[in-house]
Amino acid sequence: MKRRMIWFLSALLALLLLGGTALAAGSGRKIDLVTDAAGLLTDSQRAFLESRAEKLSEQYECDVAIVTVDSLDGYAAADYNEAVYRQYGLGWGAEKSGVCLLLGMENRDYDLMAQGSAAFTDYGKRVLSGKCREYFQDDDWYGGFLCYIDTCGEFLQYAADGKPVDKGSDPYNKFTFLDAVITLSVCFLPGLVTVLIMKRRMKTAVPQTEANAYVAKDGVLITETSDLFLNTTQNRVRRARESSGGASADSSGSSHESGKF
Amino acid sequence: MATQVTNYQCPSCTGPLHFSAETGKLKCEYCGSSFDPAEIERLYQEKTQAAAEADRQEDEKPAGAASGARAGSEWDEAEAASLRVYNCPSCGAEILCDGTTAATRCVYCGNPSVVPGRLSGNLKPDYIIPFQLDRQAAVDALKKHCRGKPLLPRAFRSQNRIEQLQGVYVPFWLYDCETSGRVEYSANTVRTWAEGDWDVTERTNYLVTRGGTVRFEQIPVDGSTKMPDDHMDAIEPFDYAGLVPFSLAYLPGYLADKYDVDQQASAERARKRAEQSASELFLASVSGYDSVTEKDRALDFAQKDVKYALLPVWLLNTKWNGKDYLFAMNGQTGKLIGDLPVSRGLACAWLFGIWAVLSALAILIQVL
Repeated sequence: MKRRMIWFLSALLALLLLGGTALAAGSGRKIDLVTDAAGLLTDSQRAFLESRAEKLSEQYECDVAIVTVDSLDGYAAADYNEAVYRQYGLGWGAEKSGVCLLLGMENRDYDLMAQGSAAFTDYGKRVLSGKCREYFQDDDWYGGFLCYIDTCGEFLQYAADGKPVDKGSDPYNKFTFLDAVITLSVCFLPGLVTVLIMKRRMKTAVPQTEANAYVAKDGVLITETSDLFLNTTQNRVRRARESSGGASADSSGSSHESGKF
Repeated sequence: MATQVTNYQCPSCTGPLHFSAETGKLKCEYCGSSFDPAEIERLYQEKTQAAAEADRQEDEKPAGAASGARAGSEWDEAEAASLRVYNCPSCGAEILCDGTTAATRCVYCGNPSVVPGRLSGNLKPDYIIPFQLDRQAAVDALKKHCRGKPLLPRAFRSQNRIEQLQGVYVPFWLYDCETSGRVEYSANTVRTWAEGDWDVTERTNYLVTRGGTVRFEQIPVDGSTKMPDDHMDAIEPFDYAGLVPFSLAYLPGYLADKYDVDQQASAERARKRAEQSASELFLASVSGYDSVTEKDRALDFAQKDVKYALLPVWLLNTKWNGKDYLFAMNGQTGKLIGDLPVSRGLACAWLFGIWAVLSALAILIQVL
């Protein structure tokens, strides 16, 4: 009951924030696929993204949505996104297939929610959000959303081909020549250290540098102890923005990848 | 000029006596009798004095009295000064050894002999730790030393032959000393916290001083140039509970040298070790800081007392691929040390083997 109340309140809040809604054809959704309540995009940018998202959604029968808001009003990004998704009827068919990217600008939160489509595995969502975050961290909102929509299209095509992006079948993580060079270089070190340790064990005739074994009983007498404060220095470094995310799934059949950008 | 040497003969059958590390007694290999070293020492005190007297009389003879036409070239001055000739009391053969040899074995009849005068008077050691481990223990220790060494050439393990195995009483100086003074350290504490979007690191610096005195008892320093210092250091420690007043009776059956590095010259090594230890002990009393670095050290070394002792060492020489390898074993505790050869082939095999396995695993994980 409490959870439903939260959803209701958050959905109402979202409604107020989003302003006018549009009834769209196909999926039965009541809002545009690209809903920029935070005002990150120009009209032409939003229109362009909307058309691309629309095209993808119809082609794969899976809504590819973007929602931006100024504040999540204290709600978790995943809960907020879930509420928007349900309240505004996003998703195709009985399974309500779709994927929705929510940005909360106040605390730079994001949530990527997927439902009813095999195209967006937990691993896939991490890859997708990782690609987009690189743009968002530079405040390149249009670039990030374009990347999101295009990558969603690729994900949906891979899934249609029977090879959804997942651990073990990740077309974005090709093993490059540079990877091979780095791997071989890094793996050389443990071998080198091991052999050096083995070699050191072959040399046991080493001179003594101390005489700790010959200190007389009660032979240590410390008569002078001084700890003199000299100065204090302070160094301030601006913290890099958190970019990590985490995956979660709930009982409604949707799954989320949340974090900060 | 030949000098008479003393060997300890069995009072029962006159056979040569050897000190047995196992029983701590002098044993006759011929009749099987065993004698307490102190008892034999008393019996041979008179004999030693007689040998010294004979030595003195021989020295007083006019130069050239015993010389004649000789084959071979002349020893140069330095060689002549360091060489001594003795007569084996068992077979009469002349034994040639250097000026520091105190106990040896006749190369012709194998009779153990003690050279008089080398360890008497001012040169007499204060203490000795008798051998407690026999030669078989040294051989076993070397085998054990070679185990678990993946880089040891297999041929060394299988073809390696002990060329020479000798029990040697090595002359050591035992220093009682004191190190006093003060050491200064730079120390700091580091505290970090977050302030909004900022990470703040606060470093508080201190000048820490510790001063005092550290007393040491019997730091051993070998007084023989024949013995590699690193080998003698590495077989430490000896258990000083095994120190007994010196007696020549412990020497038969083993080699023994007198010191050729005197206590003043050897003291430098003791000083360095004592100062390092004092510094470490002072440092151990500095706590509560995140990092401490020694900045300055002013320590004085005061030598309190020095004892001269013979300590038991088994020396094992092996030769492999034309190179000599020396191993030393503490004749009291059995600790054996010595550098082993490294097979380049095995080292490369391990290096590239580990590299290949790790690389394969890492690539597999990344590809999958």
